[in-house]
Parts: sequence; C-alpha cells; structure tokens
Amino acid sequence: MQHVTVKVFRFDPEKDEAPYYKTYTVPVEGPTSVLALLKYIYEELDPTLAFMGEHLCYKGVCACCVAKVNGVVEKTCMKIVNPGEEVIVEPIDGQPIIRDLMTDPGKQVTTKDGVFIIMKGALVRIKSRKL
Amino acid sequence: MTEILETDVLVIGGGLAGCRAAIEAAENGAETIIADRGIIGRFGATNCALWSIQAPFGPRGMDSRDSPEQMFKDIVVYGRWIGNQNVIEVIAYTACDRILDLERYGVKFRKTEDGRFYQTPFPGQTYPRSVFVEENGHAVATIIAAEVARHENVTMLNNFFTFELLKSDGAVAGAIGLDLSSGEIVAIKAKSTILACGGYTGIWDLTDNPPTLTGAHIAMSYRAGAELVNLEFNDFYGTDLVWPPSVRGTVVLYELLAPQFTDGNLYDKDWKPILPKPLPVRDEAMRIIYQVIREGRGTPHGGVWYDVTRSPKGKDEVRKIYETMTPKHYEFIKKAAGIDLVEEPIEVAPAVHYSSGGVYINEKCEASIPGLYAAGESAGGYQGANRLAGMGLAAAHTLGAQAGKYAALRAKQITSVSISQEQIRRAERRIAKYLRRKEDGITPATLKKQIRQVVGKALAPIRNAQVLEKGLSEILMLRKKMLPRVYVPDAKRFNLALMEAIEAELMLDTAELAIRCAIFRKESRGHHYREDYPQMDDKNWRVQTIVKMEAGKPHIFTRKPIYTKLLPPEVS
Repeated sequence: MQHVTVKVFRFDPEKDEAPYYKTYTVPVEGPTSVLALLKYIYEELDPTLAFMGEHLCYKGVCACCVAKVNGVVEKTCMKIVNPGEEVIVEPIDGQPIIRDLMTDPGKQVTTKDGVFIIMKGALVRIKSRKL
Repeated sequence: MTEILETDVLVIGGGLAGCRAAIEAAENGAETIIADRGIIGRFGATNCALWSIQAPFGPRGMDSRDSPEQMFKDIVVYGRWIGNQNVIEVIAYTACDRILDLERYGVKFRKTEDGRFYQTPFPGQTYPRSVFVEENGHAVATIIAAEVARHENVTMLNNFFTFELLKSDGAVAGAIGLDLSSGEIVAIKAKSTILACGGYTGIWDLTDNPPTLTGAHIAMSYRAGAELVNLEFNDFYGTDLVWPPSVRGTVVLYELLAPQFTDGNLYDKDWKPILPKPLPVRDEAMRIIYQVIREGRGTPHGGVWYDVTRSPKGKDEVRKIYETMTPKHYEFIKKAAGIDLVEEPIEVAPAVHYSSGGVYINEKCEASIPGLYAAGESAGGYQGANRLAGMGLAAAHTLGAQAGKYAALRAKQITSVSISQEQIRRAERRIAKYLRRKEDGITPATLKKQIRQVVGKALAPIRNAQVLEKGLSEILMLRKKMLPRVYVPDAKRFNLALMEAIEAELMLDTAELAIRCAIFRKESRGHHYREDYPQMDDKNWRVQTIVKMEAGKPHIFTRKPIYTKLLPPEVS
C-alpha cells in the first residue's frame, strides 16, 4: 500500500494557546484529492478534525472546500496529491479561524447605511511562515 | 443555556427553493431567518444542477404550441398518475413567471437571435421546454443567494444544522439547531417554518447529490407528527463513478455511449458488453446494470466498466464529445482523480439522483400540521412515480415562492407563538449524551457508513420483499445496538462529529420510513421496481403512500391523488 503524508494546521481557540501542525499518514491507491485525504483522516484517524465535511458539488464550482495547499489557495476537491508525496493543508487567510481548517465567512447584514460583513472568530493570521 | 432567536418566518435550507422562499416571505413583509447547514447559495443540490429548468414559454420560446396546460399534462402522465394536481398546477402555471424573476435577479439564460428563450427537448416533454441556464445551477444558487442578502429583513445563518421542529399547541413553532461555528444550541421561534433542504438521497451509499443531503427534514417532520408521502419513490441514474474515492458519485452520461456519440459500452468483469443498442431508456438501463452487479459480475469496487477506449470513433473525436457535452464533469474527473476517461475504462454503478417522496403538502405548500411548509425536493407527492428532466429546479423556485408567500401570510395572522422550555431541555440532553465518553465507542462516520450500506442494498434499483425486510431489520438493529455507542470527541467550535451524530440518528428514522413504504407498495411503478410484483397495478395502487407517526409508531396507509383537471384512464 502506498501513502501520502498530510500535515494539517490545527487550532482550537477554546483549548490551544497557539496553532500547531499535526502529521497524518494516509494510505492511497493512486492520485487522491486533498478533500478525500481530509475525509479519510476525519473518518478513520482523527474525528476531532474540523473541516467542511463530505459536501461535494462534483464539478469544482461551489468552492465550499477551499483551503491553502502547500501555501496556495485551492479547491481541495480538485487538488491531487500523488502517492509518496507530502502535502501541507492550512485554512485560507483573511477570515477568522473557527477551528482547524474552518474559517468564518462572516454574516452579511444589509441596513439603510449599506452592506456589512460581521465576523466573529478567534484568530486571524497576518503572516505565514514557510514550513 | 440555549440562545433563543425570534422571527416571523424561518426557512431551513439555502438552495434555490429556500432562497426563493426567503425572498417571497421578506417581500411580503415578514421578518425572515434563513439557515443552512453549510454556506447559503453554495452548499445544496442547486449548485450541482445542470442547465435545465422547465418553463412552458410557448411563442416566447422554441415552440409556440407549448403551454402551461401541456406542461401540466406531461407531469401528470409521466408521473404515472400519482402526483397531486393541485400542486402540479402551481408549478406549471407559475414556471415562466419564476424564470423571469431569476432573470431579474441576474441569472443569464441562453436566447435565440430574436430574443426568445432557447429551449432543449428532453424525454417526456411534448415540446422542447427546458430553458438553458448559462453557467448551470451554480449561477442560479449564487445569484439568488446574493438577492436574498439584499433584503433588510432577512437574517442569513450559515453553518447552522437544524435537527428538531419546535411544537406548541399542535402547531410547529420554529426549530432547534446547532450553530456549528459557535458550538451553541440555538432555538428559533417562528410563526411559520419552511422546509427547503433538498431530498434524502444521502441515506444511500451512492448518490450524485451532495452526500450532505441526508433527509433530516423527513425525520424531523415525522417526529413532529406531519404526514410524509411516497417515500419509496427515488429516481436513479444508471452510471455514476464508484471509484476512486475523490470522484465517487460523479455522473458520467450513459447516453453518450449511443452510436451517434462515442459508440462505447458498459462491460462486466469478463469484458462482455452489457447494454444493447439502441440504448435502453433510463429505468431499463439502470436495472440491466444493477442485475450484472447483483450477480457478482461487476468490477472490483462494485460497478461495471464504462469504456470508450475501444470506440470506433477514435480518441480525438471521443474527447471532443465529452468536452462539449459535459465539460465540467470531464475536467473534474481529470483534476480530482487524475483519470482521463477517454484513455482508460472507469467503474460506474446506478446512483440515487432525486427524492420524489417528501413532506405532504397542499397547493399553498402547507404540510399537514399548522405552521409547517415544505418546498422543492423536501416536499413530495407531485412529481409522482417518475421525475422529468428539468423538473427539479422548476419545482424548487415555483414552490419556494408559494411557500414563502403563504408562510408570510400566516405570520401576519398570528400575534405570537410560545415554545416549550421542556422541549429545549430535552434537545440539550439529546446532544449531551453523544459527548459522554463510552468504552466501546464508535464514530458517527462509522454508523453513517453502515446505514448507507444497508439502504443501498435494500432500496436498490431492483427490490423484493426479502431484501427490503432484511434491510428494515438491519436498520432497527443499528438503532438499537450501534446508535447508543456513538461517541463524539469534545470540542465546542465546529464539532463536525457532533453534527454527524445527530444526523445519523435522523438518518435511521428516514431510512426506516423509506424502507417501510417500499415494503408497503406491492407493485412496480416508475423508479420503484419490485421483482416480486413486476407489473404496474392501476386497480389497487394508483394511489399515494402516506406515513405518519401514530402512538409513537409509523402508520402507513394509501390516499387517492388529488385530480383537479385530468382524470386517469379507466381501469378495465
């Protein structure tokens, strides 16, 4: 059986003082999407992982599954990792982090004075460092 | 301590039906909350939909002979006479107006040079009737969600999983949900509550809908005492990918195996071709494919081979066909799994595509208990035994608007609703029990997988009493033995496993009800095929299957469909 090494950004604002990265080894039979790797980690290895879950639009259009993969923002359903490779998965920048890979898109509020997005969250990353 | 929000109208589900309902409710003066378990406009089935929505534009479209009367008739006849005509009237007679609404919101439709709606013909449409949405369902979903956001009196809740309807004096008074972002339980007190959360295709192990559509609304409505209708009717599509996991569920059109396209075929494990030419229609094709798999002649991952590599047309021409007919899916399979289906055979099997069953509604989209409404795929009893192409989205926005209007009207007539603190406490305790550590704990993902395997085998393209009874006893066993073992790690924010634990509990109810209804209907009609009763039996079964809770147990009975304009042929 071949494997992929997945390094995942973890942070629970209720428990952790700072974010950290956790490494998982996922068995694969061939090229596998990052979303399928995350699903495997959640279902078989670590149910504490917060990610978007099993939603899939099958066309790569809904963008519910975006995350940073090796530093680049990707739709994780369409980003392939080959057996033997290592991959780093992190939440997207610019939105408050709810937990792990989940960020808060905010709540859109329309009033007489305009359209606003209200965000409540725990951590906003300002600068990322190369791992 | 549960937070309590208050509103006139609560809409559950943020796809086309839910967004259209929220707009209509808001424009009729109702304070509205719309809640989705994911992100409104991005998470549901609308986003997955292709470009086809039925609307009988007649002279303003491709064929001046088409009319709402004709659309009405097509739905009634191809639904095999078990659809409620009072609801079908609403769909057929408002379909064009709703398309014009979508156009006003900014959705682009393909037009002819002289400005008429471009429409394509599909089987079951007497005249070409499917208008063509540029950029598919994705455009519809995102544009209508943006339109919702323009309304001052609508609050949009994302990542909000609703799991129980609030009851007060026999009426529905809102719902309780889990706000995933904060981890808090929230009760929403509402004068009217609209279910617009898609179908229950996610209880099967193979579906081309987002697997998140697990039919919580069926279990919630049942527990609240509402009637459900025709739960044994779900549409299948014959050829969806089963492997690899990255692309499981993706549709690959079997129609493209026809001689005028790729002239490919499906093959069993010994590479014997499966489909006759000319190609059989959808329901026949899926039964042929399922029979091969059931006999153990399938591929390693439980499908059959879909192979166009030996097409006489040559690779370049075959590739061009997929690039023009289904470009997004072809690209997705390449990018998500590294597979070019023009170069290698792929494994496909019949998958669940649509739920024709759902919450019983009347022409105002009112369910059988006051205060509750349903729209789109969550509602049932109008598509009948067979849904025509382009009718999913057509039902979503017509019934969405209808539900929004009447929900707002009810809200105006009621001064206030009260909710029971006891019910909220019970819901809190229900959540807490999943967080209690257990010696022999299993994850909710494990239980969901087991439920889906049972449902996939029982509610298969070919059914019989024996497999259905076996499926039912397995579901009851899972509820008794496995559900109490479900254990969720403690995390407050975005506890996906906690949501899935509640989801699995509701899936068990939905699965039980759907299997019981399939056992109950002793005939074959549309996509419900019983090999032990292979004939359509109009004398005894041209009726709807209704299920509701009575004394804590499912009570199943038949009801005559409502015929307003067309009477079925006499049974000899």
